[in-house]
Amino acid sequence: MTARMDKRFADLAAEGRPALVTYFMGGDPDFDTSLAIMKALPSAGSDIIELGMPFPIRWPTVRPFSLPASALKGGQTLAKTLEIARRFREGDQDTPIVMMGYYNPIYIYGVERFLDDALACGIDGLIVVDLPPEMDDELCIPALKKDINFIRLATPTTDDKRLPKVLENTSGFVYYVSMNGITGSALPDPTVVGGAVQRIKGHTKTSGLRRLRRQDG
Amino acid sequence: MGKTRIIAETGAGQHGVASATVAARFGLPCVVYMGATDVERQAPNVFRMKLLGAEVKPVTAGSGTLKDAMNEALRDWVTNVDDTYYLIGTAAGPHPYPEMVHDFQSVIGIEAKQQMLEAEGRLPDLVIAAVGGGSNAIGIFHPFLDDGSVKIVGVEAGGKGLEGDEHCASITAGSPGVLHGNRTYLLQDSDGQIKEGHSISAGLDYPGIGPEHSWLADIGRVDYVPIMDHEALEAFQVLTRLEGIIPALEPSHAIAEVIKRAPKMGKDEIILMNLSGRGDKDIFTVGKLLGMGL
Repeated sequence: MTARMDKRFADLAAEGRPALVTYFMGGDPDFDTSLAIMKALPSAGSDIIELGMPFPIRWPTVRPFSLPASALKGGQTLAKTLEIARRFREGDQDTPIVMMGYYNPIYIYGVERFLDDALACGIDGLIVVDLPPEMDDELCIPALKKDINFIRLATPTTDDKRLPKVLENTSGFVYYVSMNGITGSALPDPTVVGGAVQRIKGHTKTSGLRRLRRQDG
Repeated sequence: MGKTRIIAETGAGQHGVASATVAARFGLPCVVYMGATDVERQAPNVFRMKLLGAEVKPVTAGSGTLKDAMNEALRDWVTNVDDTYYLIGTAAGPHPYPEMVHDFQSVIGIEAKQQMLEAEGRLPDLVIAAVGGGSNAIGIFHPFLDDGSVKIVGVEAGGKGLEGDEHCASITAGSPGVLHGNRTYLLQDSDGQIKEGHSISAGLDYPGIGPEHSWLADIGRVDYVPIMDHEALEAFQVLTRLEGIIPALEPSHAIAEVIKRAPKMGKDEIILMNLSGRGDKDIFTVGKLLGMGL
């Protein structure tokens, strides 16, 4: 649901502070523990929660994906990851949830079925790292049409020529991978990141969702 | 391109040796990612790479095979993309790699076709090659794809049989999915998680297959069939005894299929098979399987 994320960012802007977006892997180390982790995140300061969908592949850039083994060993499936979100949503109507992972489990689950179930479980956005903008018809556009944000990664190698393409159909927020390499393996230079953020802001005037609505209207 | 460092992934070590050779020729540092299981079972190729000056990095994640080596190479690449070129060896992976690999590997098919016309004055009746990720196969198939009279067969690793999980027959026994940036036939469970697979040969031990092979299977241009570990092992010995050529375990799968098909074909019909690697690298593995200590 895009309204929940819009409201969260509007409230944060009114408070004059940035959002703290936190990530955890669904099902790691087991269903109950990860549900408890998720429930504890908002009171610990998390404004937006990224819920990881385990997949045993370690590319391109996201370190938490090096830890899906324990989640998968615990029998975690995409349906169970959705169930974690649903159970969380019963007690929290305000914190946006973004599901993050790789495309194949969604593809096998079925895109339409996944989007319907995600909406029903209170999901507000998706980050699917191995779907570039050339593949927007697969999941991005169907998600936007169902009012789920599609959030894309930009990296230091996403230059000014590529950025408009990467951002074309995104909404919610932009995930900037602030360094080349695996996130968390070294600390990026804040000055460099600041410059990059300004560069990206020059490209984010119109979100894909607004553009899509304009086309429909 | 201004890149000063080369990385590669390898299964059987053939592509690793090739990458190490070209890096040595141009004086570039070369890092080859190789599954720890494969490092052990393909020791002679590991030694060759080291002799050529490459650094071989064993990958212990997953089953320690080609898929895991590819993951690690991709991680290295995204970290060092400013100075590093990733020389992918298999016909799988993100666009445009499958297309590039098909172009480069086609040299073998173009030359084979030319030599066939010179030696026999006509096209072969059957072209056959082993398929893991599918680089050697796409190379020899490609110049013959538009020759309708030529039957083409790709041989997948049937491992210990298609009933369980211990095989790498992505087309024969897998289903479509998305992995490593391409949509292709994969070994996966009902939740879309990738299975490890198994093959006696390191070069065929990959839970996917190049997307062009999937397409060729879907349009019916190429037939893909499985050969079991034990059949490949038998073919390995047969070729060694009959021709004095020790084949690698990968093309031993293709040899086994030739042995099955040849008796049913006419005496004048021609089979072109890609003997894509030599078996020196496999003698320790085969020796162990045959109960002969080396």
